Amino acid sequence: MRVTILPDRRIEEMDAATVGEVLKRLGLHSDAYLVVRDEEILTRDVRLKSEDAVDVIPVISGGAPPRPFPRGRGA
Amino acid sequence: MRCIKCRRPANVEVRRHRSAFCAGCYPGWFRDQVERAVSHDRMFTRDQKVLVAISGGKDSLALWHALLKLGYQADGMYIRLGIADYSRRSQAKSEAFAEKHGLTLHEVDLEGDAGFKVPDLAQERDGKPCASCGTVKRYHFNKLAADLGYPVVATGHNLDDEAATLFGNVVHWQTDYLGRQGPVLESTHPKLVRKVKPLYRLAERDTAAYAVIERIDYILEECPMAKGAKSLEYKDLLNRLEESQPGAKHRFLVGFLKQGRQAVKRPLRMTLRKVAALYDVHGNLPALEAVLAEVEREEPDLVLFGGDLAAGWYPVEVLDRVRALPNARFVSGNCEREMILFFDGRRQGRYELTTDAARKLSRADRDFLAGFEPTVELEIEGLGAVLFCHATPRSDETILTPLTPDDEVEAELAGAPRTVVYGHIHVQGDRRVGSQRLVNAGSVGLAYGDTAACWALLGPDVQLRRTQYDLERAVPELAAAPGWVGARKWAEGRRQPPSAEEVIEQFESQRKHKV
Repeated sequence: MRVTILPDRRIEEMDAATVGEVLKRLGLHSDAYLVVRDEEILTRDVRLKSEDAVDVIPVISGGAPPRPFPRGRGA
Repeated sequence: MRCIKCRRPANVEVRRHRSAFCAGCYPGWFRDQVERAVSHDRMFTRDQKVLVAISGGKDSLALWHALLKLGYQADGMYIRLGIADYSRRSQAKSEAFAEKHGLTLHEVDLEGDAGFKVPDLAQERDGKPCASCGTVKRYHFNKLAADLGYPVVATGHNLDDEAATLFGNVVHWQTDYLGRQGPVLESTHPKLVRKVKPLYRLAERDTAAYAVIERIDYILEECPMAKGAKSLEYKDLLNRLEESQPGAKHRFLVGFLKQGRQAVKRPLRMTLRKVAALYDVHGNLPALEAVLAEVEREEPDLVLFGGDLAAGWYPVEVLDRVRALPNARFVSGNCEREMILFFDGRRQGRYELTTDAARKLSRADRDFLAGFEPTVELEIEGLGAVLFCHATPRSDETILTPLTPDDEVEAELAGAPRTVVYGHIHVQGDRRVGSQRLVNAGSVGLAYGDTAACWALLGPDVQLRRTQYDLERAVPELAAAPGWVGARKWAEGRRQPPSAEEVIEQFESQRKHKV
């Protein structure tokens, strides 16, 4: 199957039985990615066929953590 | 996997809740979580206008979308940070979302308005502008919210963001930050708006799934300036933990908010610009009205009532008047204490002044009085910490007069901040004792040695104020007050009150005999 990893659209060809296995083979945390086929999000137990094409979408965002105004450094 | 609501094939698994939902049921669950956070943490109501900080990413757009679907009034705010291509694309996504849904999006152009862009900050702070960028963004949220009158700003911070922040603050033991981390950051200054995080119960993956299912077009790539940011490292660590211990992130954050935060929290102190101190009103409604008219012109941040508020001519009317004030706090006096005891049938009143007033109270009035605080400590510009008490910091009836010896006053004020404001003896005064300053605000309704209504304005210095009110009109009105045997006698007394010297001597001898 064809796996497209966003955002840079890197393509990997692989044979994985399930969605969970796709992430495992790519070494990705299931909490940090969504796997989508034909605009439909798939749970990790969904079985995949060799002719399937899936997108892997990262969900992590952000830079430095938000902070309230400091009133002097921590004690 | 099946949807726990309708048993159809699931699309989104929420492992920490051992749940899964189909694309049809998922948005409802997501919005329930948002609603729960908003109402449980009292973030805002449907009557309030909320300003949502929009970045063009999944979290802020999902938040805006969910709030609108839930019936909240939410406008957006976008800051052009000047991060080349990334800023252009995120701006386009934000504008397209606003246009598609017919929404108001306020925009701030950093380069045009402030004359710099975020990449310029990179040079200032060893290559990582994220912290400075956050400060700049917060400055503009505060400014825009204040300028346009939004009472609250909502940001898209999610469970992962908050857990990563918490992790970082724990690793470095930033106790000052820890004490203030939470889904609601109260305003600590009139110019700092309240900030809330309605997505703090939802994981990053949850908001991404919501955006995909609701077909929200968001900017997928990360800010290029954030590469290698510590928060991303913390998120990665926490996700590894989550993989083997589902729910760990949620327990870490929610457990901290429930149990840990209290341990590191310091009392939140707002520095106030001006505080009006109104003591010993004693149910004198015409005097109170005159003072409040003058107080209003001063635009204080807070009106502090220093006790003995209602006992006198018009208790119920005075309570109704002060309850309508937007910014007021109340210190309890000896009269409030006596009125409550009498109302509750636990004591025969010692004076008709309090018993007659207590007879007029409703249960709600009684409960309102019972909520008065023993003392109130405030931080006031130019004065620092100021303690407001009725008679002394420890008692609502101990007498301190200008004739009381310094050492005895010092003993009463031991442990109190540098400035202490009291009332009780109905004579204005301002006295230094050792390193402390003892201010008597005087009495609004029953001033001795003065036919005016006396009060004090604090910040940046102390002003003892007198407000003349029309005695020709007020005395007959007070004399006609029903249900108090002393009404006429005490009303007539307002025309020629006893002199301050006379009263001080009398109080001082009372005090000595008690001691």
